Amino acid sequence: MIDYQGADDEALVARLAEKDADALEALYDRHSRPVFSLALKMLGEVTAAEEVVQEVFLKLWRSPERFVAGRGKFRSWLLGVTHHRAVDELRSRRSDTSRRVAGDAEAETLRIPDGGPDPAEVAWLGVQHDIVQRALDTLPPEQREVIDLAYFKGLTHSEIAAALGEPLGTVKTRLRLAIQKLRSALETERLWAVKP
Amino acid sequence: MSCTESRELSEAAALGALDPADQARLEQHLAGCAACRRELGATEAIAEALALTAQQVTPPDRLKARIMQVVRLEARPQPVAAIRRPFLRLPALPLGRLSSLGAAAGLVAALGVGLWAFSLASELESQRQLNASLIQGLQGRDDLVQLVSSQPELMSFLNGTPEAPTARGRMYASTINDTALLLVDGLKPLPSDRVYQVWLMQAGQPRSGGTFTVDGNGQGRWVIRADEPLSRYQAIIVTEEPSGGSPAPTTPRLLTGLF
Repeated sequence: MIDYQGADDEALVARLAEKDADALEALYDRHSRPVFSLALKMLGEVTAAEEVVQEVFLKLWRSPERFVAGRGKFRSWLLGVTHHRAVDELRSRRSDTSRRVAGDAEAETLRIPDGGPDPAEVAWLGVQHDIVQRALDTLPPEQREVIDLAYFKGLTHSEIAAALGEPLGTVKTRLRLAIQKLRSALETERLWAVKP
Repeated sequence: MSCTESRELSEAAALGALDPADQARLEQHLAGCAACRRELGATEAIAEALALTAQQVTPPDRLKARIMQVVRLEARPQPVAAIRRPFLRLPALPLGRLSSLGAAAGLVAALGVGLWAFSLASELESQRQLNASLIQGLQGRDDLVQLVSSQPELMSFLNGTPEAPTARGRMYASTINDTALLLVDGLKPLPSDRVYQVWLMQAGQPRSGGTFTVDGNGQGRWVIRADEPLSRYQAIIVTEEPSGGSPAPTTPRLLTGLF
């Protein structure tokens, strides 16, 4: 009998090769909240965020070998896949300006459904959220801005430079400095393995 | 590309912010440099941390239901009969007990609790209206009476598509013949020249399962009589069609349920 609640992520992913639906359900229960939240923050629309989450988990289900245990944490990988897919969607929207693009405001007025994942997991996510937010708050506003444009809006160096009317070199330097400072702040929290 | 330049780019790469030309050059370098790959891996933890600054929102239950419906179908491809789950089996009610309106009300009470358990508590008023309409509907509806008397089993949950995100439904199959009861909620009321049409999917081909409409609350029910045993179908979908129905779907799917 497999203890799905107690099994670690890597063990559950290994079960996916056996087409074990209960393993996928356990991974969904554990990680769908941060995955959905990231997609919603980036896309600003519930329907679009749901589509991304569905794609991410079905891709995991059908091709679990894409995650290679030992190369990093499963959650980092899963959020990376989610980010990549959401950036694709944002870029597709930018090339099709006739489509409606909702802002963060829509996401903020969302009804949070009843029920949900393990309260302990939610609490832990909340702690991590607060720590990263505190680290971000130590950055100067112009550095926070480039991080927001790069990560959450999916803009490249050149696109950020064009959006801000700044030289490309300035944007590259500013983004690099911002990430280094953030990394330094997080290292002191010992929550993330940010050293190579 | 040198290792110095690679590391200058790895931070932006972790955030997905590299221009395509820089991305290609970095990937070329990483392919042959383990040290720089480790450096990039560490920087990716920053991206994970940033992801967690998004306001944490629990995804809707319907999303998990949609994903797991696909996953369970792909996990254990089995004949329909084996997938049926009797956990919402209705109590057997002898036909003779349904001869009076009072007995019909008892049956409707069972329907109200058993079949519409997914209604929210705040929808109690519409639940009462539904029960009243069911009582009326049962008079002279021997097919419906017969079906709910045969201990139907839950065969499929139906989920709304992006075209009808609030729609949902359940399909209960008779255990004694090839009829099924479809209950839907959250569909928009239609003008008189339009109807909803049920399609049973067999190897990707739709077979009409009849047409129905919904009341002012977006709720409706329909008894499906299949030409063949229900176990030979793989899914049920609902589309909006002109009055009288269409030979094949002409509009996007509004509801989908897998068997």
